[in-house]
Amino acid sequence: MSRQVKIFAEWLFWSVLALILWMQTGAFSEEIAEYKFGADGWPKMVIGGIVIGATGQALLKLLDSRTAQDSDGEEAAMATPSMPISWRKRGQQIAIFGMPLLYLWAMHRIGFFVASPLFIAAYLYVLEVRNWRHILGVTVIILALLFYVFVRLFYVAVPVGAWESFYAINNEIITYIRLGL
Amino acid sequence: MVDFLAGSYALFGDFQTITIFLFALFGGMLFGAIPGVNMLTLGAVILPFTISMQPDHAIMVFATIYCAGVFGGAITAILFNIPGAPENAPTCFDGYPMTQKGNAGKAIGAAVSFSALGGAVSAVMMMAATPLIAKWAVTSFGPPEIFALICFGLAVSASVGAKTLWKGWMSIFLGLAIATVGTDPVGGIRRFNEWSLFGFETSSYYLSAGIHFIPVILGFFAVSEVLTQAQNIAEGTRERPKASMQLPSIAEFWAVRITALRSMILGFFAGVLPGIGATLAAFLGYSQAVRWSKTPEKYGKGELDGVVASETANNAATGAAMIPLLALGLPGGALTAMMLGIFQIHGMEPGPLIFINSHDLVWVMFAAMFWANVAILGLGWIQTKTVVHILRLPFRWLAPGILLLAVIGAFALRNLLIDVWVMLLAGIVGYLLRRTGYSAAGIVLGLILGKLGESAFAKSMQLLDYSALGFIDRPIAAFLIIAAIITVVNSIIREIRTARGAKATTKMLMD
Repeated sequence: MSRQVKIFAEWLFWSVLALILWMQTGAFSEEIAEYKFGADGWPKMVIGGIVIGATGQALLKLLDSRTAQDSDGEEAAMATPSMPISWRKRGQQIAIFGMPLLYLWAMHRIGFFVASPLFIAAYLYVLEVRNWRHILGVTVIILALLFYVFVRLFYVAVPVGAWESFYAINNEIITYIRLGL
Repeated sequence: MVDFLAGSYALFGDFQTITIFLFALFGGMLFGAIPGVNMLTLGAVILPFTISMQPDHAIMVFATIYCAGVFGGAITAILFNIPGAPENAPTCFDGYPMTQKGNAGKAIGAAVSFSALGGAVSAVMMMAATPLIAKWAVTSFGPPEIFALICFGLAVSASVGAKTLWKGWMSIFLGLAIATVGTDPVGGIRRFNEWSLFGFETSSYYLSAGIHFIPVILGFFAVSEVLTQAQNIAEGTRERPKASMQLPSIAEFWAVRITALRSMILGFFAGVLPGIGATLAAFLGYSQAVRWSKTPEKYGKGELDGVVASETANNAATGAAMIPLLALGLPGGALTAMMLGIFQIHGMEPGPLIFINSHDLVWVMFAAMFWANVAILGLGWIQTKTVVHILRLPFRWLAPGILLLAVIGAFALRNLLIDVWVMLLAGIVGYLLRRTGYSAAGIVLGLILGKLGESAFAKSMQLLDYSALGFIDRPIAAFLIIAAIITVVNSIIREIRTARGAKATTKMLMD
């Protein structure tokens, strides 16, 4: 991608974001009796700042576009020859981002106490821990520490699951941790 | 002096008081260092127990927790890039790169020493100047001055953590935009709760409470760090930081004296103003250190000055935060609000008369804050010698633990899963920001100061009859606004000059 196209793409991103935000302000552009600018005055000012900032940034970069050395260092990063990535590595990279998302999705349904051990073990595997003793040991230690400190000592609330059977299991675990029964 | 000695004697005169003091000190340091809980959690947990305590014990506990808690967050900021509290966020900028370079011991050593120094000096200034400064600060700082100060704070901190000034400003504007989600501060009208785009509509009741900055901070700093390091593991490019125990030398301490002094003054004055406090103090301290440095390009890459600037400033704000509380009964934050509650529970009303009616108790509090900072120095050095060993553990073992800690921290805030989603999204956005030169710190600063800024702006406009020129009629506001404008113009000129300089150098090399 040429430098000019990159500058335009960056400006376009901010402008589209500003446009979307501006469109949403219509939902709350109500008058407030004691405040002339209304509920949308400040957000519109901030959106204006985004547009001015993005345009200023783009113009300055365009004026400077003949500069061979990119001050952002982005060009340098782009110029680095990319190594071919195997499907296995690609899968690993996707899992690094995807697994926390999956964990949150699952936590809402099956609860923190059921989802967390599975997540820790799986994430360790994704991070290339292959020794099952290490996986088991680290999982147990992390959970024991977190459960003891947050659930038993500080009574911190954690999601207990929306699915009925898991809701019961999670509450049983909480009772066990707190009372040691 | 006699009052201070009497306060100190009351503090260390009996075994029970010493025990309570140490409990508060360890508790504050521990809670400050664990992401997900903080000194407010500890304060909230022990607040009910203070009813049965002696008033001086109760106040002393909270004063000590406050000092220790602000320091505690620096440890995780330096070791794992996870600030324990928002005021420790600028500590990450240079503290974590120092860890990556194998200088964790130096960074924590500097944080300990200058946190203690900033806090202790601030406590002394608080003792000397509470009635004078409080009256000046609170009577002279109305909404227009607060708004002008926020503008100035944003202007000087704009380029913190960003590759260019423009990217810094864009980051701040993004933070300000996120801060508008929720309800407006004047009419309570819901904003950005319902989204409608090309026929697709969605709404969330939970968004009416706004987007809290704690999940955003956890996401930008903790989650994005885990994702970055995990990617490095996958690519086989991760270098394990050395768990160095080397502490800063006397010469290194001496070299940062000006930075420390500047941050102390900035931190103290930012701390006096209710609601602004330690977070802006830390950002101001850091940005001014970068601004006045002869080698600003070294910041963000593991400069000791950066850690010193941030940690001195945020701890200097702790003593100052007590000034409006004691002299005028105005709490500047949640913990000082709890302290106000303790005063009231025990039948006292903070205000000018407290120095007459509860003279001894006030001096016990002053002494507790001073000695807490001295104790941080001792305990902090022991902590430095021990916690650095955590770095010996492989990161791949720590990564799931850090993520879980962040999840608990985000959820525990309001018991809302949406906060955890916000944290995770902020983590992914933070990962991308690192690659594009935008500043996570700028977004966080915009988010934190956005609500306060809007509220101050709205009140100012009502007060000044919607005339922007009204700011000019108020000397402090005018001074701050002009200073902000000069800062912005100066930064733009410097940015253009730097770009031209780079251009000239490139041309010369090509020739």
